[in-house]
This record gives sequence, structure tokens and C-alpha cells, in this order.
Amino acid sequence: MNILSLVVNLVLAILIAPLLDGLRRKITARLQNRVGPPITQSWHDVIKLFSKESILPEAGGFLFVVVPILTLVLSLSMFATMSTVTAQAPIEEGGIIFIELVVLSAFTFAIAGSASGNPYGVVGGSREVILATIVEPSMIASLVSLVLLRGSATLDYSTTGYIALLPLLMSGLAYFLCLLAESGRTPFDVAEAESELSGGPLIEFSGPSLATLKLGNYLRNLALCSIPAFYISALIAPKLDGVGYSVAVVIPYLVSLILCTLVLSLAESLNARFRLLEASRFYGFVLLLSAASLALAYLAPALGW
Amino acid sequence: MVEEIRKQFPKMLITTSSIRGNTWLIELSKENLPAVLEYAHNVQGGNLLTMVATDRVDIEDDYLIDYVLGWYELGQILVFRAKTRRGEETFNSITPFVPCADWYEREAKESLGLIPVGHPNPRKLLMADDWPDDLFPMRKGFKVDTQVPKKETSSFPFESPENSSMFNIIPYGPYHFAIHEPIYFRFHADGERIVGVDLRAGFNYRGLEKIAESRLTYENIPFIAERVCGICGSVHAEAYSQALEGAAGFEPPERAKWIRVAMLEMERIHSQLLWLGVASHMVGFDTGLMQFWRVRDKIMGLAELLTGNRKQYGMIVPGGVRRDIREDKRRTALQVISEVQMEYEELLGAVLGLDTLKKRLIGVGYLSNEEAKKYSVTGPVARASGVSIDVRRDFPYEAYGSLEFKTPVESGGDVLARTLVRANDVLESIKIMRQVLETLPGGPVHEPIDYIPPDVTSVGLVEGPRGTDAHYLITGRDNTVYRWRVRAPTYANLPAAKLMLEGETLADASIIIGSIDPCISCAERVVVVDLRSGIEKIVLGENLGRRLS
Repeated sequence: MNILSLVVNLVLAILIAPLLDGLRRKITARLQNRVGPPITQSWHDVIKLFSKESILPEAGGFLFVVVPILTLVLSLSMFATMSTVTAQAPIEEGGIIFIELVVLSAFTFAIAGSASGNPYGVVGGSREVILATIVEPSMIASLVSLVLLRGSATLDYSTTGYIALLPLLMSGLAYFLCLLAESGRTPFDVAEAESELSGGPLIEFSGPSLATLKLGNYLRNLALCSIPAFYISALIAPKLDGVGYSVAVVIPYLVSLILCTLVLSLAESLNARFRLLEASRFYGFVLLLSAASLALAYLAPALGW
Repeated sequence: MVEEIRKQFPKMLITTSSIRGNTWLIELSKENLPAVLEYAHNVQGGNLLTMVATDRVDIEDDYLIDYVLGWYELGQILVFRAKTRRGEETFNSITPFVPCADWYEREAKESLGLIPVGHPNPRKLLMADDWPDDLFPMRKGFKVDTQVPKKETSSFPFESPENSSMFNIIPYGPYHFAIHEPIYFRFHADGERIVGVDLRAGFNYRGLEKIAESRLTYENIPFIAERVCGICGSVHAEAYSQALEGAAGFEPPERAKWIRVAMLEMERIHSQLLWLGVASHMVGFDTGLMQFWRVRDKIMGLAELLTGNRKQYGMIVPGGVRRDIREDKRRTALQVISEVQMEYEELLGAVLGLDTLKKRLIGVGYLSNEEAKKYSVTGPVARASGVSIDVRRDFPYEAYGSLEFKTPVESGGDVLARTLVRANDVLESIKIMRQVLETLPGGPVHEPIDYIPPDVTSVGLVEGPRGTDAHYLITGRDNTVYRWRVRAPTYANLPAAKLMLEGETLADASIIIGSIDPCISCAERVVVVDLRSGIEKIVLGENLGRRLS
């Protein structure tokens, strides 16, 4: 366990997660001919919410109090499994734990909905569960093929595996498509669906508990947006010594964040919200893609690509 | 049409007389009313424009019950009138076979105490829950400044489908972020599928008509009428002015007629663009919202240039219009219209090419042609179900007779069809605007109306952005109206929302309700909200008090 990189990860994550959301909002605004809020806006939102009163709905019990904290903890734990701007990851073999955490946090969000007892929250929660069930298999398959290709489940920038270009690109594409749904933004914001369910699972949360949930979601999105850095580093196979260090580690990471934000903003501005049924059809194809990449990643060394 | 009905019911009609060129008054006894109306609406296909009950106990000791039906293809309006004496406050309901009369008859019951006998659904419609059952605000004896005692609040009896305990109750409203106006739909949902819909309106009712007939003069009312709605203000002012001018036999000056058309069309463009934006937002396409409203803002700027206001223009008054359009403004307006047309066409092409957007609109909220006729829906909702009705074309008022335009009609009956009707409406309106501005005739813009005879019944029809706006008017003495009844298009369209919603999913509820472009304040004729009503489980009136204290 590498304590230093864990500390670096956590501090960095908490600082830039809301900024990344702010960046997404800014880009989306520009694409919609708006000036948009400053990129620090999401930070202001969170800080303001912490100063507000938290209202406990009559139907909300123990779960309602616990879920926001759980969300935040799960999202923070994701940063213990990967390296962001440090060469070494906090723990070995973190990729597998990361997959677990992503799945778990989607379901926590759904529980947040039903914990409030609000019918909109319940519907939003059930949508989140259905969407997660549809998307997670593709997500898992694409991440497992990444692990196979890199030859190690440790999410850092060293590569020991047999990098085959085709399965890597397929897996990367599948990951990007899953990211759209996992991030919970339009066109896959079926759970929150502002104009249908008025925030779905979030509907009854307010003040600090809402801020905690939001911060948890920002962190989760940051973690998800960090993963493409490992695709990039697998592609360009960095040399982790001397002057090349910062270029090899920081650049792929920043590129990954900005690329993901751009993709999310574009998808958000150019689409209407999917219905669940259409989303499941869409992810049927993505599942095929990621399964194919997994099979190819497994077979690549044998085929000698 | 009068002849047809006379032939069918030779003994039932008491008198028939012509009020205006295209409007006839048919008097019959109240026992015969249902049979004649069933024939006129269901067999002859008349569109129920409005139904008005009037208290005349101060002059004739009776109540008037008027059903107004319109035949668009013939350009005829028939007012079916029955009378009932004081002490005999009942009439036979026609709702069992003409379902669109539902709301009108409930309103007559609440505002005048006339009981519709045989009405299948005589629940409260407009008045607050704590309004006493024996006070009727539209009766002449009710003074507008009466201090109303509060009644013990009773909960509203909602309808439930069979086996309702198996389903989730999803409240949609009274304040729902997607609609922005108070209306309460109560869904029974099986998972995401809507199996039962009940609708409660009335959160907005403030008795504007009572204020008009007791406090305002003829000349004040257009300004209040304009404030019936935040979007289609000129439509209401125009419908009122038309009804009043019709009653006085007055023709406004030529130039005023053309300027009125310009106002109405400008309002139509901005209203339809507003709807296109809101509809985009409802299906999660916020870029559409931003872009449509960007184009719309040019029209708002144009409105400010021509009238001095972005909204509530105060232009249309009985006798003409209040402001002229100056030559330089006319030229600027033409230029703005061209810009809007260019940007709009480009935008519409891009938006309608979006696959995800189209998928959300196709096949949802279906309303068949037969249902559209049966429910007498109006405007884009009717035209999207293949019912080609348009007041501008069928009852040409002001300068519409000499203008060239098409009425967009679609046959799909779904939300996409309604979207296309509105989208094409904008292009037609731009065409009309250009014609008006290019050929604006000279002359005065206002002439005073010398004499308005009392006790004349008159109907004013205007094609608003949402459909036919019908104003019914009985002139009075002392420079005031005796009875004024506003029937905004949403009043006709909203009851049909129930049909569109059943069997659809919750995800589509917003866009389906949105697709009729509901204007609740229009339907209930209001300015301010003043009621907290019983919503089971959420906040009851007394609960709200408790929570606030």
C-alpha cells in the first residue's frame, strides 16, 4: 500500500471533481449558445448546500441518512484503486475492486431514491437499477479486457501485457459508450430526468445531505473519467524514468479528463433523453462490442497480433 | 345548418333568429336541449365552442343556458338557448353523450348553482376546497366584495381505476416543474405504465368574469382580457373586441384590422417557438430550448419595437388599435421577420433531423380523429389528428380574408404530428406577417364606437396559437358587460389529455401533457393563485399551515 499516492489521489480528487463538472457545464453552455456559469460553479453549489438546513422527509429513515455518506465513501474509495498523477497506484490489483465499486455505487444511488419514500424517487431508483443492470455488463467486459491487455489488474501507468491495438480500441470505444450512461447525463439521465421525475432519487434530499450526494456523484464521475488515461498510456507505453515522467503520467491523465468531458458535453447537447427501452437496445450493441473486445484480448497473444 | 336542425326537430325549436351574418340564435325549451345538441354535435359534427349559463333574475327572473356550437366548414355559429325559471335551478346534462360538455356544466353548477341532472361526474372543478357549497359567485346577487366564510375543507374525491390498490399513485402536480402551472394529474401507475388518470383543475380560479361584469367598463376589459394569459394576450383582447364590435355592429378602420393581424401573428410565432423550446426541454433536449428561445427573442424584440412592450402589448382595444406602426418601424420589422425566417428554417431542419428527439415524439400521446371530434378539441391538437379547423380560414375576421396562407394539418395524431403542426404554423405566420407589413393600408387606426345596444348576445372567435379562443358576451347597460365568458383553447383540450395519457409511460407524461400546450391560467381565467388544495399524502391545507408554523 502506497500511502503517499493515496493522499495525493484523495486531495486531488476532492479538489478537481467539482471543477470537472463545472467544465462540463461550461462546455455544454457554450454548445448551447449560452455564456454558462464559471467552472467553479459546482464548488459554489456544494459549499452553499452545506450551509443549508437538511430536511428529513416523514418516510425517510435510517437509510435516508446513511446513503449520502455511503455514496461519498464509495466514490472516494475508487481513488484508492488507481493512480491518477502518481506513477504508482495506492494498492495492487485495484482494477477488480474498482469494478466492484462502480457497480455498488450505482445501486446505492438507486437505494437513495427508494429511501426517501417519494414515488418519483422510487421510480427514479428503479430506472437506475434497470439502467445499471443493462450497462454494467458492458462496462465490466470492457474493463476486464483492458486488464487482460495490460497484463495486470493494477491501475497504474506501467504496462507489461501484450498490447493488441484492435481489441484495445474496441474496448476503449465500449468504455466511452458506457461512460455516457454511467455518468447519468443526457441522453441517459433517465433516473434523474429533470423534466419527468424532477431529479428522481435526489428529489427529497436537501442541504448537506444533497451536497454529500452531489459531491459523491462528482467524484464518481471523475473516477470514471480517469480510466481512459490507462488506455492512452497502454497505447503510447510511457517510459517512467527521468524527465519523461511528468509528460508520461500527467498528460494522459489530463487528456483523458478533457476528452471524457467533451464527449459527455457533446452527447448532452446533441441528444434528447432516451427512454429505458431504447437505452437497453443501444447497450445491447455495446455489450456485443465489449464482449468481442474481451474475446479478442484473450485470444490476441495466441493469434500473435 | 339552421335548416337541417329545423327539419330534424320541427316542433322543438321555439324561435330562430340571426344575431350576425354567421351567428344564429336558436331558442328551445330546456327539456329538448339534450336531444337537439346530441344531434347537432354527434351527427352534424358541430364543435362545442363554449357553454355559458347566465343569471338574469334581476331583469327577467330566469337563467339562460347557452350552448354555442360552431361549424368550421360552413363558417356558422349556432347559439342554442334554453331558459329555466328562478326556483327551478336544474337542467339536463348533455355530458353523457357529448363528453366535452363535462367541464362547462360543472362550472355552471359551481358558479351559478344550476344543477346538471344526469352529469356522470359532478365533482368540484373551479372553486377552492373551502368555498361554501351554497354560494354561487356568478349569480347577480353575489357582490364582488363579499367576505366569503370558509367551509370545513373536505378532500377531493379522486377517481381510481379498478384494483387501484395494486398500483402506485404518482402525483403529477399541482406544481410540476415540467408544466410550470398549477394543474394536478393523478396517475395510477403499474411500474412505469399509466393505467389510470384523473385530472383536477381549478387551482387558479379567481372569477375574472365577475370582476369584469361588476367593476369594469367596456373599455377596461381588453386590458384585463389580455392578462388572462401571459402568452396569448392579444388573442383574448381581440376575441373580446370582436364580440363587442359585433354586438355594436361596428367595423374597425381598415388599417387597424391589418395591425391587429400583425399583433396576432407575432404572438403566434413567439408562442409556437416558446412551445418548441419547452417541448425540447421536456424530452431532455436542452439545446433545442436554448436555440428556439434565441430565435424567439428576436420576435420579443420586435414586439417591443412595435408596441413598447415585450409582452402584454395593450394594442387591441374596441374600435381599433392604440398605436400605429410607423414607416421606419415597418421596415425594421420586415427585416427582423426575414432574419427570423432564415434562422428558424435552419434550426428546424437540424432539430427535426435528430433521431433521439424523433424517437421520443413518434407514436406517443395518440388521439384519433374520431376522439378529436368527439371531444371537440381545437387548434394544433385537432389539426394534428386530421381535423382541419382554423378560425382564420373558416370565419375570416379582420384582414385574414384578403391574406394568403395555408393551415397546416397532419394525420398522425401523436405528439410528433402536433409538433409538426406547430412548427409549420410558424412558417405560415411568418408569411402572413410579411404580407401584412408589405401591404399595410393607410387611414386611421381607431374610431370610437358610438352606441352599444343592451342585451345583445355576441360571440367572438379568434384562432390563438393553442386553438380557438371563444368569447361570449351579453351587452349590458351603464357601459358594462352583462355577461362575459372566456373559453380559452386549453379548456377544450385539457379533458382530452386523459385519453392521450392512458396506457403510456411515465417517461412520456410530460411531453404528452405538454403537447397540448396547456395554458392553465387561460383555462381558469385568472391573475393570482389563491388556494391550497387537498392533495392526499403530500400536503393538505391544514398540514401546510402546520408545517409553516
